[in-house]
Amino acid sequence: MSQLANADARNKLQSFLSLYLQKLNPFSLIGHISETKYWAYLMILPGLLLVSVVIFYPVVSGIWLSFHKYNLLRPKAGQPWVGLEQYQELINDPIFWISLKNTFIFGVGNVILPLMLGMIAALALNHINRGRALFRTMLLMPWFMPSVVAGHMWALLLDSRLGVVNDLLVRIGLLDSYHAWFADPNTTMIAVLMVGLWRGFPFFTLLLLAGMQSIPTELYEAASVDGANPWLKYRAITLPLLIPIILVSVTLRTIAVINSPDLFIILTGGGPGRTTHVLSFYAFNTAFSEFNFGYAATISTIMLLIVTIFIVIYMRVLRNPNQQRSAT
Amino acid sequence: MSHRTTQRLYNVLAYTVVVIVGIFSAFPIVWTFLTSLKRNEDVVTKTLQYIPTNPTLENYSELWGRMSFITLFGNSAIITVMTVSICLVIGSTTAYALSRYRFPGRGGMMMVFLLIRMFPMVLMLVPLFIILRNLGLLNSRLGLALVYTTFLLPISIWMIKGFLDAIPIDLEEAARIDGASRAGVIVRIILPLAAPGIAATAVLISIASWNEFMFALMFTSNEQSQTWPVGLHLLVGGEFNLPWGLLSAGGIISVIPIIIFFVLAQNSIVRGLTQGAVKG
Amino acid sequence: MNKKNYLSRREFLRLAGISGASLAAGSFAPGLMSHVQGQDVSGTVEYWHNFIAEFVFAGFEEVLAKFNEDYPDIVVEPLTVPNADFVTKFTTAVLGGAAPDTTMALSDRIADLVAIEGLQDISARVEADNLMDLIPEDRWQLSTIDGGIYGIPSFMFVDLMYYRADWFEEAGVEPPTTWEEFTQAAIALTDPEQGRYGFGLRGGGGGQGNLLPVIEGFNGPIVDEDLNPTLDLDATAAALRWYTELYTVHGTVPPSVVEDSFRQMIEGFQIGQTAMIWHHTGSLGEMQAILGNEGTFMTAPRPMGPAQLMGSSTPAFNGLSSPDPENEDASWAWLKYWTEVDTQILFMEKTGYFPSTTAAAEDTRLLDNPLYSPLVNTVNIAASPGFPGGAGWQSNTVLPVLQQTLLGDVTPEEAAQTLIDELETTLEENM
Repeated sequence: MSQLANADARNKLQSFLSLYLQKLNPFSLIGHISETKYWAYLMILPGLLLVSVVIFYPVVSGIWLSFHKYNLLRPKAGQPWVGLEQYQELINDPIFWISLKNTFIFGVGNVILPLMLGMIAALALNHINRGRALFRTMLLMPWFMPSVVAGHMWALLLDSRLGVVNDLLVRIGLLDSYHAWFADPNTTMIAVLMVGLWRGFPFFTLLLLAGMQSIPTELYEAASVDGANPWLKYRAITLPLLIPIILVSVTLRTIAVINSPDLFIILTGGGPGRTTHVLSFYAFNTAFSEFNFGYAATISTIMLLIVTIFIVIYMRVLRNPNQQRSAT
Repeated sequence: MSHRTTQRLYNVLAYTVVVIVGIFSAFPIVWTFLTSLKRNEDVVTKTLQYIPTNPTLENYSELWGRMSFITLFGNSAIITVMTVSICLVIGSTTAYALSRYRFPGRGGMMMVFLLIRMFPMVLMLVPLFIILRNLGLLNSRLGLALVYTTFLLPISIWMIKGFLDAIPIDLEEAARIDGASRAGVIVRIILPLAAPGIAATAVLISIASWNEFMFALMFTSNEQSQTWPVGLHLLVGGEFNLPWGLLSAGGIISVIPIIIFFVLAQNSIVRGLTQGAVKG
Repeated sequence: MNKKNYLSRREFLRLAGISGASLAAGSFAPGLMSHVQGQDVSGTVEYWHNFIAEFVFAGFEEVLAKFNEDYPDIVVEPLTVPNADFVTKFTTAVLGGAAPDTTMALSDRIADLVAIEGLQDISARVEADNLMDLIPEDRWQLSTIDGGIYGIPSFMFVDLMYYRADWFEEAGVEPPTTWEEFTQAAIALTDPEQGRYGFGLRGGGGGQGNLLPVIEGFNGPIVDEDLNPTLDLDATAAALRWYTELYTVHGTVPPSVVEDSFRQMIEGFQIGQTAMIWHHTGSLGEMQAILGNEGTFMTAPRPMGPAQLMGSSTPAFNGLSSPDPENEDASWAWLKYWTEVDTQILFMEKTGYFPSTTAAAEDTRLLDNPLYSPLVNTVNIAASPGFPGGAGWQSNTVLPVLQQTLLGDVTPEEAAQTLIDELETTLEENM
């Protein structure tokens, strides 16, 4: 009888183990988890955790700092609470207003222009059959360059003594002599926008192209049957389906442009005479050149506000039709 | 106009656009390449030299000699691989949940993810430095990869979500009716369709990680842990003349791995993910 | 005027090499006693520096190699930090509690570095080792703050002028010695037909560094010893007027002036566009390599202003930042090494940097070298005292204001008023 009991126990053990192992099998485990009620939360958790933990402290302390005076050159003075005093100072600060104006100009220019060129380039790339890989790589190259090289090379291209762009323009006859692009406040803006366009359009090209390639061809075929011309196809099929991607890319690009002083540091240093002085540059200098961390925090918080406003506007303008339904 | 003529017209138009934009993109790169083959006296001249009259490879050899190439390149490569991997895995799953599942606070959560990017980097430097120091992650590749991931994860999520939003839900619903689990739906239906988008995201993340300079400079204080962009900056950070040849050579060398990765990536990632696609 | 009054780089180095050996032979001075004693010091020393240019870095490595021979038990871990990012990186490290053992500190930023508590008071050690005897007193001025000494002057940047000797000869003009002569010379040498301009004014990044000596030349020091502002409105306006009118009125400056930073200024001189540029000795050896061995350039002191010379010399300092208590002796040995005559001469040979010690500077190799000899007087002129916030005032106020004046957006009087107001505000906020 003990033998039978043993065999019975062994069977039970085996079936228990096999069931257990099946549950432990990562793939079926994932399959099972995905069926649970809280699957969405589980999927979001790791990312949320990482971002919150690492970022919470800096962002909150940054905003907190904007209400305190913190001058690194006087560490003994501590970080006393000053309430809205620094915001008041900001409102009365003429350099802030100049920087704000410039930030809007470049914040819009460095987003809209690359978007437009990116859309045109993506449409063209999507259309051609031969040499796709080659042209795609060529068109994306500006993006591959590290900013230090890209910035200085453009400075060289536009240099008032050594610049090949100047040389070509003179040979063509559009210029009489080499122009000092970054010395003239007007052409400085054009030059910075040009470099921004060059650097920025590949991002849009890549994303929009990827979006276009996700659109099922059946939709276009159906439209052809109905006699639609390419422009109509674009407006009725392509553009609407690209809206979520346009929203994302414009949002991300706007944030990157407003928050990054890289290009300005290399090309213009905020000059000449502050014509390309933007908020990101102002914040950086205030912190690490003037050592006024409290004021820099104030500028940064305002920048946060501005970016938020931009994003809210974009989200209002570009509503996604697919958002209406939720998955089962 | 006949259908064929219109087709040909659009073809010509497309190729014209691609060529013009291609020239616009490539010209500065070509100029960088040409400059990398010039001696300094051939760059700083009264009359511009287009093709170098005395082409030389000395810039490349000098670059090799002056920088600890292997270390710098290696660090950057490892950090990039780590960053891309984490971002894609966590990014895709999070993006899917946010795209498909409506719950209260979803919009707010999206904004929280974006918050990290929305605050200018200048004020992040010191707090992040302190965090890394307390975790013992200064001068480490993992430390930089974690920092990069934290900044690039929101982009991954937003981008992949954007692509997922463009995929109609009907396909999933049909598959669910057929009995597929949610995970199965993701793997067999969503991933192949989102493949171009995910590939694009991978490219973006890897470029951003490869070219990042500021954090790498601030969070490393010994030569073994520095990354390639830091090395590049050291070429131009000097007090004196700008070594155009060296900088250009550095730029060209910097771009080559990315081009290689890009060429490989667009083929294999798309192909790999499309393997499990449901036909029809 | 006809004889070749320059040295080719080879000749220069050869002279330097020969004399270096002979000098080293007789270099036992009292301060070096601790050199012999310190042989048994050990430890690791982190050292942050800005030696990036190839020439300079090579020179630095030679000093490092020699140090390793003399102090085999000390390991120095150098870190090269780009100049533009140095303050950001250093401040982050200080705030994050990870500052290096020792660091180089340039004169424009040392007041700031001390204020954020990034440098330690080394007066005790300086006195114990008699370093004040080796280096003239006024060179310690910028690193002496509130009675404490925070950096050892290790080498000097001496303001000077580079000019096209051949053009001057051609035009029959002598190198200018006063501000009025300077204007005349610039006008004489400007010839738009030939694409020539008299003066390559630096109006882009760093341009404030050339404007300040001009202001001092008209006004005298910018702040006094007690760090009270001493800028006079009329004198400051006159300085700005004289300087900017070289461009706006006399047209002796290339039109790219407000974008011309260091490299553009040098490139303009290199390609034969400008007759005179203002800079400091820096790495004179590298300048020679850049400007060519054709011998067409010479050095001269800056011209005199109404009040004083429009140029001075500033030291670069080495200091203790945050050494491990165990490593402090080793760190000090490394810092002190830079004041030894051998080191100073060696570094100068390789890089051209002017030495900071009396012994090295009075060496005949310097005095006989036609490139250095014009600078003998300038070497002994000290710049205005530094103050916390000074670097910020210079780059965030002086530079944009200079550019606005050059562009004609503001008058020199308005510009001067802005400079003075901002100076007062900066001093108030940070003292």
